[in-house]
Amino acid sequence: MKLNIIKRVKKKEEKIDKVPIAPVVDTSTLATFENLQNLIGNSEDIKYRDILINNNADMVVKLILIDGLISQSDVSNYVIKPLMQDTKIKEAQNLDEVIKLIQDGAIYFASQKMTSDLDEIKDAVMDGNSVLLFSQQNIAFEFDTKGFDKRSMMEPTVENVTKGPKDSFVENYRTNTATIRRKIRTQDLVIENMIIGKQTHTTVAIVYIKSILNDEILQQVKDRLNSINTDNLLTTSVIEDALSENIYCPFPQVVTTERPDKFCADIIEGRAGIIVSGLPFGFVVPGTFVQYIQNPEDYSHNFIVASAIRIIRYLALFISLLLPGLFIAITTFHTEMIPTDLALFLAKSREGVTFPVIMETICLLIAFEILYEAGLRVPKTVGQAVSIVGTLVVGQAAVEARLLSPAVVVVVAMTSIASFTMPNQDFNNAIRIWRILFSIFGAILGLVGIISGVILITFELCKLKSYGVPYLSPFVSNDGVKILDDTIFRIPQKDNKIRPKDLKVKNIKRQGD
Amino acid sequence: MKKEFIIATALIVSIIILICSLLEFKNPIHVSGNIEENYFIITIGIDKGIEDSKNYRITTIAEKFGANSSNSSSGQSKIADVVTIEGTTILEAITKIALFKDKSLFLGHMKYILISEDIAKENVLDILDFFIRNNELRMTTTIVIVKNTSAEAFIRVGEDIKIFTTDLLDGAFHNVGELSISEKVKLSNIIQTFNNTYADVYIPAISLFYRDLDKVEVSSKKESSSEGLSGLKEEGIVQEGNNLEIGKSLQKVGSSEGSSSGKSSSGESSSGESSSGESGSSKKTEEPYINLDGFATFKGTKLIGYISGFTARGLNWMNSKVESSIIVLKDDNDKKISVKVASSNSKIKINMNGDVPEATVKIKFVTFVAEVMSQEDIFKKDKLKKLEEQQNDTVKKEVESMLDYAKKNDIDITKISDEIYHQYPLKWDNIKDKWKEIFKTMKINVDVESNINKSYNFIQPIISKSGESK
Repeated sequence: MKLNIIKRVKKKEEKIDKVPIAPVVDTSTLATFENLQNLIGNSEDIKYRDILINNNADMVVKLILIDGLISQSDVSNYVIKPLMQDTKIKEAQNLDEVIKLIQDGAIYFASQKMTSDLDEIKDAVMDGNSVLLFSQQNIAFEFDTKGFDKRSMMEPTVENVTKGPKDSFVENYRTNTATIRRKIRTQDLVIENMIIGKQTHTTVAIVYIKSILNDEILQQVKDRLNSINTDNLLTTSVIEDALSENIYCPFPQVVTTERPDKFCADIIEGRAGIIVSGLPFGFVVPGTFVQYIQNPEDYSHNFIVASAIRIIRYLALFISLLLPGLFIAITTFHTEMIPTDLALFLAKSREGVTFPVIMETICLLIAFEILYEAGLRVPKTVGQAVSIVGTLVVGQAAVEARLLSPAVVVVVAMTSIASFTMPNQDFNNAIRIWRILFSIFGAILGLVGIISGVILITFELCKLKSYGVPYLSPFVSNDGVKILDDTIFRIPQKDNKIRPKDLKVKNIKRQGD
Repeated sequence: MKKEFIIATALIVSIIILICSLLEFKNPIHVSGNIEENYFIITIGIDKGIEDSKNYRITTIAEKFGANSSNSSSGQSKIADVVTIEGTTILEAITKIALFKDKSLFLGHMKYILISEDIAKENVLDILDFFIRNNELRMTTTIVIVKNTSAEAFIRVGEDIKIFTTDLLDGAFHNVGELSISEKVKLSNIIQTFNNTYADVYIPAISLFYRDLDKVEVSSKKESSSEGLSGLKEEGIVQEGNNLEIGKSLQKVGSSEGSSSGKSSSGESSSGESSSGESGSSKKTEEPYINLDGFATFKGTKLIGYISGFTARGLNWMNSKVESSIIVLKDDNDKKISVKVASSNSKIKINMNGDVPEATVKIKFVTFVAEVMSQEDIFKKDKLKKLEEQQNDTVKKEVESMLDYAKKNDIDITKISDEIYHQYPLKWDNIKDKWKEIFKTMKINVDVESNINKSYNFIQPIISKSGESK
């Protein structure tokens, strides 16, 4: 008897041992409300709302959105209203039927996407989309209901033209891509997205024409953008530093523009463009020297006029870079080079001035930089006062007090005016630094110092490459090809038949078959 | 780490260099300071010493700057800072000037070097050596021989009339092309000619005259040549109707010794307003003015004489240096017609008959009728032809007079030797040692061609019809 009981118990244990254990399912990655709430949190502006479809307590969906990022009217009229009032949805018996109806377009919203990826749902909510979450089915629908306040397109602030388009990039990513699409309507235009910034999750797009852009340049751009490992992408320097070949060179290697027309023209030429959400700029690579001297308005004028203006701009570049240094070198070391009357006039004008020429010039250049910075940051209401103070103090009082000589004031003023002709501010900033260096070279070694500086800057620029394209192209490594096309001179559009060879584009012809 | 080290080092070095330059640390390469620390000598005059005739007496002129000079309006005249110093050599004398000035002497803007004829008679190259050797001086500095006065008196004439003397010289040379009886000769040209063994130098001469303001009429003197100082004669041609009476009718300044005797020998500097009355012959009622008076001619390094007036112009014709000039012609009724030279050109063609050279000077020029002091219509083909022949003869005579002077004085200021060397280099080697003798007897033909041009100027002269019956 006892033995039978023992046998029965053993058999039961064996049966229990043999029963298979059900596997443990990880539910933390499922698209459920609890998981999403754990991920997103309970900030004051994140709204969770239950919507009863057909007033049926069994058919509950969650609407999740961030107040301030969405358009209230879009959500009300195009998401909630159809859910509550659509006749077909009213006839649905369960949530699966509702899902099917929404997939078929029962909610009449152009941009909708179905997903069951929790991270994707989280990103959609953070982006400003509204999400309908079917928790039991682990499915969510994203609707692009972004409706936050955004700046409307205005005239460019820095790159102004008198004859040409007056639109500019804005902070809103979609508006920028739409602007580009309006200008380049070819099917070959590609906009590839990526998310950069651990905290900001900024959308960055690479814009290019796939039938033109060199694949190597494209790959390099992607690699460099992917290598960005930063918390935030709120300033242009993050992108520019990542895309530049040599960040220790003050000369910019990425063209930053607020003009869509310039951006599109560069893309069509065979370069890659980058758009960043939240920044009203477009970035173009590879950047070469001639691009920073060109202005979009050059292509709006007659080619002879445009060529003359470009020559003036090159002349202004040399004046802006070399004039203070040359003035110091010649008046200090090479007085015999200037005409006698001018030499006597300069000597007369400097009589009684306390400081040597080098100190005067550098101090005045620095004073000008201070005025410039002050002018950028001063409120508009007191802007006039700052300019008057600057004029009176520098132009009048300092000269009369014999702190400065009139000739130095004229030289620095001419230099500053010449520097304003540069279309690109980043390039102008590099010139400002080198200008002071040239002044020091001129003060120490005269014209020998200036020439040494010119050799140094030429060496630096010749050495520089941007994505395999020499910075000074087409002035260097042109293989005998005409170098003056669209550089110093602007040739007529009918003669501008090929794209720059150094970009190694897939299709070199601009015009004709 | 390495990059940071390099950047840090570069920054530190740059800051040190900047501080040093701002503090005006004496840089071994640094030669001159700021431009206002230079004492710009614009003109220099060289005379014989007064204390010791073997010394040199230097007079320099510079522009005086005040502390508020930049505030002065451009209409104000310049103030001259004239300094006279004596020294055993030119360099010593110039260096002595630095003892009285708080600035560094700077010769890089020297425009004129005035040499008195006393010094030029002895050896002009001794004086010019300092200026040739000096690395600051420009080779475009103009050399001038001061003819009838000392260089110091010439420079100080500006003090009397409150005019910057350099401006007077600038004005004279600016318009030298109007009559082309002189020419601006640069230091570089003179060096080049001195380097040529077979050619002789000529330097523009300048003289100082005083016009008596008390006299209403200017007295005219018709003698063409006058006894210059120290027994030197000046040669000039006077042609009827072609007498360029520039300055000849006026009172001349006294001797060079008299004019500079008022100045003490060394170490004295004076500003523009002081030291009047040094020139022995200047009076309050006399107005000084300067006259570019042809050329001083040199044999080797010594001054031997002057050519002025048309003879000097003859030299310019031969050297293609006539920019413009006036030729006074006569019509059939002996009335004067002035033609102005519009352009001219000359070539020297050499023909070698064995080892005997023969030169032909071909001069071509174009004139236009500028003034007709007659009421006859000269704008007819035959009459114009006659006038052209007249002007050809005039120019030919001028060139021949210059050539006669050159041959008589045994100086080759014509550069014919250069032409022979360039056109017949091998034959030149044979004759160069005997060049002086050959030049004296060499046949030099002068062939002149001209046109009276600018037919838009062919306007009939206004004919007076008074007294004609109606």
